[in-house]
Amino acid sequence: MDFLQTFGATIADFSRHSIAFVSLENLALMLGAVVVGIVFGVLPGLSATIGIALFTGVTYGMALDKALVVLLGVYIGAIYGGSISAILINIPGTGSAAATCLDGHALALKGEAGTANTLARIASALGTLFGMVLFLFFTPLITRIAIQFTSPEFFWLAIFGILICGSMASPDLPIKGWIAGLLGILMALVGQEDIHGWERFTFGNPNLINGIPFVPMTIAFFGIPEIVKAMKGRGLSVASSVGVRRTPIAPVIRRNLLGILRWGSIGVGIGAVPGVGENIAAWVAYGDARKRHPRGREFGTGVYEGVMAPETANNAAIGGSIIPLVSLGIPGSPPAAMLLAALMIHGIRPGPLLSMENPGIIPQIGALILWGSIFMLVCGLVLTRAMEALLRIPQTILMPIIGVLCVVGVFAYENNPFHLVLVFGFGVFGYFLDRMGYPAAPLILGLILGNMADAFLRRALLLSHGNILGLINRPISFLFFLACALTIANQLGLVQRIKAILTQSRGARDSLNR
Amino acid sequence: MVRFLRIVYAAVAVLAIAACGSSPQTARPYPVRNINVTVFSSQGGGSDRWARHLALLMEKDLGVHIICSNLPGANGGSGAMKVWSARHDGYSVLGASETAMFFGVNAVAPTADQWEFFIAGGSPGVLAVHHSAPYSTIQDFVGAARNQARKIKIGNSGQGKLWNIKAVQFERAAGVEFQHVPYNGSGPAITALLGREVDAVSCSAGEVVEYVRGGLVRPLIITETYSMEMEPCGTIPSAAELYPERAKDFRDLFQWLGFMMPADVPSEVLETFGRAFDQAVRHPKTEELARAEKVRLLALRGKEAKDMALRMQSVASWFSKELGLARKDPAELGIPKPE
Repeated sequence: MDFLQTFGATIADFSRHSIAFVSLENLALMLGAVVVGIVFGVLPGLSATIGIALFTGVTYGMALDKALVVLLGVYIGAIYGGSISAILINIPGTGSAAATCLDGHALALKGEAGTANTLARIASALGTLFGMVLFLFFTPLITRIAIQFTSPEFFWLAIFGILICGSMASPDLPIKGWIAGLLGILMALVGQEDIHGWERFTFGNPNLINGIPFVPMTIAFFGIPEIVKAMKGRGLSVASSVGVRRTPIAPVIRRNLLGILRWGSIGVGIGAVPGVGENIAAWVAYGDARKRHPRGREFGTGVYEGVMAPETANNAAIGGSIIPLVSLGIPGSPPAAMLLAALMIHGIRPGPLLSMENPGIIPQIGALILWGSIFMLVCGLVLTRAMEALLRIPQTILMPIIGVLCVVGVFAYENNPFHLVLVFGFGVFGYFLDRMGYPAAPLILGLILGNMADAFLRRALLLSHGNILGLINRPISFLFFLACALTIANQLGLVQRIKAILTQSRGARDSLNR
Repeated sequence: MVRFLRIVYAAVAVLAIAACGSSPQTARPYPVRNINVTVFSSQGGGSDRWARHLALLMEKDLGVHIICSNLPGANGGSGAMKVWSARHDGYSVLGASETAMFFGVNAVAPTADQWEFFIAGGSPGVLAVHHSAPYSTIQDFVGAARNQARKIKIGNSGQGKLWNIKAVQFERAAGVEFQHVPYNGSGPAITALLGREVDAVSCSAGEVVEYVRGGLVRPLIITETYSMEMEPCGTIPSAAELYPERAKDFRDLFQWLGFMMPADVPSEVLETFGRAFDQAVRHPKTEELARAEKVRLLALRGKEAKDMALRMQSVASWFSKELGLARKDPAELGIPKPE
């Protein structure tokens, strides 16, 4: 009964805030923020985190509720915007769109860029709204689960993410994806490590103390190879056949409604785990979609679900990552960490009392997310049409422009010339990896998560006094361990072999009984 | 008409040339243009929030804009070197914190003797436990640390960082041994405390104040020379009260937030900037921020700030060496051992 009452009160508050939002100023701010967010998402090198960071400074003088409109608008726009460049030019605009490249770009090459973009947009909006609903009603419950994540769980989650991504992203052999993931982990180990503060592989270069930054690396491994490949081509435009085939969208959405709920839950769940974020969420959802799809083997050649799953999950992770932020002051993802910083600059100190002392904040943020996803749907439609047209430009002209934008984006973020050296150095390496069929996505995910895996593994061992059982003796960590083990076993064909042995022995038994 | 215009053009040209030729001494006093503050850590951290807050108040006083940007990297060295390599004229200022005391041993930027400091204040260190922990006073906690077969686990924001050193200073004063568990920042360390992965955390009062108010975390001791009020737990005693013989340890190393400029910036520039800084720190808005973030205001600059920084640098550097983290030996840098 009590529960129903809070339920009703939340709905009432939420609708009140959603209606109160409508003012010319708010609508204009949200429109501008979502457009800027989408542009940040589209441009490789600029991401949701960077967008929120930049706008934290811009909104410093604004009132808090206006600042929140801008920051959430940028956040929602940027996470969605990454999919546009992933689909159109095979360079994920943000790390969270890396999984969208696989089937999204394949669809674009088949002339279905329009369909892929529409699917990504609708999936993103539905994901965002799903995240919003869970945020509105289940914040206390999800917080209680998320806080149970300790070092072993973080370690396994990072490994699981890299494994899934590695086995999905590789064009031929899954082992190549894992090798790329290991290379990423190796690169993540550069710099001052978290446990003892010692430097590894820095060769005395102070620029490497804080490790290899991942923004220049996304450009080096996703951007440079695509640009070089385009220059080697015959100057054709990517999708000269944009919009040639128009598939009706509604039936695709309808048959995937259950999937959307599942991918949304994956997004919210992984988003809510402190500090992990939408990158892993997208890959886990992609893996889930591929496993359950009747034509799972065709993933990577342009399956609609391959676009919808990661886009639902990475946008659902927005609501997820705000859950522990509002309930405990703990950000669930890197962009949410920036959001936390922005709140603190505005004199709000998120913590366990925030939602008690500002009871309106959860429905208020919920309302902003609702409006953000509406604007995302509309702006996305207009912007993608414009950008699809851009693709009619021959690649030999388009890609150098994209190259310049990439490099400017890298430099503009931290103004560090050393990052340019990194982009070009690793860009050459990235090109050859790409030619040999080693996918970039697991490498980048390894780079992002490698440090986490390393530090949490050693922290877990420190806390269990070196006892390796400490890594698997809790329910959640054991489940994650099993998931990792099964992923490896499955890829190595062990599962099939065991199944074969079982059926054989059953067959033998049956014949004996007879 | 045309002729008249020509004369006007000529006059303008002559005036312009005269303006260019005039020496900077006769120009208006500092500041004539916008001041750039480079914060050496990322957006939203303590150094960033305080630099932006103070800059906004100082703008009015100085009559120019103060533009804050962030350049994290190399443990603060990236931002510091940007300011160092710009002209030492007071238009490039570093937004800094006590992390700057490690510049020398980290070999990323010049040592403290080559800088001027403007220290607004800082939040005191605290040792805090989970609300369901069996210790209600620091005496229980130390007693348990002495008797338990397994070491008590203390989370901190990173090996060799301020809050790690504070916890080490405390265990030495108390004569016990903790297991120190480093995290990547105070936020994750506090998260680990809430998930009960560690028994206690060493961080700043400001970082933990909301969890104390929310009843999730209980502060046991302030690792400084002064006690502090923390609602709803009342006055939290200081480590110096408990171990007066080790008070000096807790005095010479603490968190601070503020600005730095190269020491060879003209003294009148330092003075003008400093006066505006003093006013900003004493502003009621700053007092309000300090109350919310549990910051003790100091408003130190000039010789006082420099002496303090030098003392702090010597403690920080030799600690760094002891933990095996110094890239450069403090003795080589001419940093004296703390007395």
